[in-house]
Amino acid sequence: MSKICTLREAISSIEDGAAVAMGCGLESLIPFAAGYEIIRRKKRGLTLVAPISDIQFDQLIGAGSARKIVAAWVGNVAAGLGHNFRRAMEEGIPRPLEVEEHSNFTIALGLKAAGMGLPYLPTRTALGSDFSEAPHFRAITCPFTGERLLAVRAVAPDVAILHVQRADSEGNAHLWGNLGVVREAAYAAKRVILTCEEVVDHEVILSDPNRTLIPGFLVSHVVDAPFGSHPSPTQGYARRDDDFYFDYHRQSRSLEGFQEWLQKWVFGAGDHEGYLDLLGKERREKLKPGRELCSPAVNFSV
Amino acid sequence: MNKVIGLRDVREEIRSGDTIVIGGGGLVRKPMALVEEVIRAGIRDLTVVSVLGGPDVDLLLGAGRVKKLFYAYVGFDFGGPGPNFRRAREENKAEFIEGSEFILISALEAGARGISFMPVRSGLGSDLLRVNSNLQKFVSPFGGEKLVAVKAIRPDVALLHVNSADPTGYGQILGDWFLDPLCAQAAKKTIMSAEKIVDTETIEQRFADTAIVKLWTSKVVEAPGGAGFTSCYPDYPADFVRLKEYLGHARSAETFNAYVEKNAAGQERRVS
Repeated sequence: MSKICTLREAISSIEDGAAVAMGCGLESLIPFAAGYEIIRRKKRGLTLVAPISDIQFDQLIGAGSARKIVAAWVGNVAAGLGHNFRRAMEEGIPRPLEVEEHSNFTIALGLKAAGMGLPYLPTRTALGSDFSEAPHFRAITCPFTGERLLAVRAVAPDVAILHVQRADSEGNAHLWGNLGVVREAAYAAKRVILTCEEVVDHEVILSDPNRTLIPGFLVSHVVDAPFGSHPSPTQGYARRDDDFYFDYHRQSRSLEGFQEWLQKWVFGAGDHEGYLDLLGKERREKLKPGRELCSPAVNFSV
Repeated sequence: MNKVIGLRDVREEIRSGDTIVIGGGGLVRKPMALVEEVIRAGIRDLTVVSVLGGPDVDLLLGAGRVKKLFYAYVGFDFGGPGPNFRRAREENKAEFIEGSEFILISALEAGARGISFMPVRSGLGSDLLRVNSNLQKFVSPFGGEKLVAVKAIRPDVALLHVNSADPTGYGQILGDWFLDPLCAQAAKKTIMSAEKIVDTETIEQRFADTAIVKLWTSKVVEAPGGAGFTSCYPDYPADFVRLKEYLGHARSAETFNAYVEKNAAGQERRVS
């Protein structure tokens, strides 16, 4: 069954108030194109889930899409704090924000627990720190050793939006490079929306089975979105656009500046194609990897 | 750092009474040269952790080197259950602790992560909770659900066989990795034999096949044919002639003792 659809169709399937995991590749593979479409479709009351999402969460917070953040960090990796996040936390602008605070490791464990169908996973981390007092953590005693451990409550998003290098029409996806907790998020969520650099034939996926890290049965929508992680990198397809992060940081310092940024890059662009036009061919060419660094082919024959 | 040692030096790395976990699966990529060296060295009273046990565990049982066995399966795939395993189990020659594959994986995962247990849904409502003291019902602190806690296993030594390794301890596996990376992470020490030792540059060229990271590896042994008579894809298939010979000898304890004397405990290992 083909799951290929437009970005607009895929994002429209998300209900207001849903818990959405996105940007789970840490600094790479962040599905920015999907984030912009969430803003265009005026989704409200979302819970955003990811360890680090670079400026994606800051954008969604500033646009008023988010009600709650489940994360280890929100900001601008290259430039500093996220101004929208700060405004929301300090002044409730554009709306107040609830935060479920994690470390990178505890959110990974929470997602992994959900993926395994468990209510929690035990860990040694965070014990003795103030944030272990939060309601999504509980101190437990090991039934075998009597040791004190910390139970991390499962984090089960309604949907995970993940950007990958290539997928077939059924959503079987190949991804490589720095993966962060993309796989944990895919298994934790009730369903997955994929944006991908390339839609490929099923035979391409079959030709390299060990690289199929997201199986199609987890996936509800597949969107062909080359450069869909811009300004974050996708190994083999796009380098990080550092200037974009710095420009965003300067412009989003004031609320007005952020509104102008939003008007230009999200609403003005209209859709992902419009966004790519706005970037321009020259800039996109510059962001393509300058060289090839390929692993040798492997022989799967028996 | 050069971690290469000779096959005979392996005896210095394992002590009688140690807990060992063995990589590979069934009739695939079992570190038979290392296991035979353990037998040849007279190491005994081992606690063996076996998720997918084959001739490795059967041989150790038949040679009387196992004090305690955590197991989910010990057999020869189409060749049936391990004959020595069966004899030892029926005659209570060791302590046997039964689990499912998933339960044993969870125990090793807890060991690898340095936590004392892993919660699972597996085993609930089964007799495993009665026969396996490493399992306990444990109420979830979120929602109050009753789950099973699996006690961590942190083996002293992992024995693995891989296609190629470099002297610093990177190991590459071209076929199924099975649980080898988990075994290496869970164990305090990993001894890895390889079909061939290559330089680090060769490893880097095919980084995606690097199953074992040097951080986990203590010693590297060059042992061409070191998985025989089990298979080591794509270097060689299982040797069914030697497999049949093994099963023939294993029919009785007496004939198997003679086989151990000749093949495993003998001077030199045959390398194919």
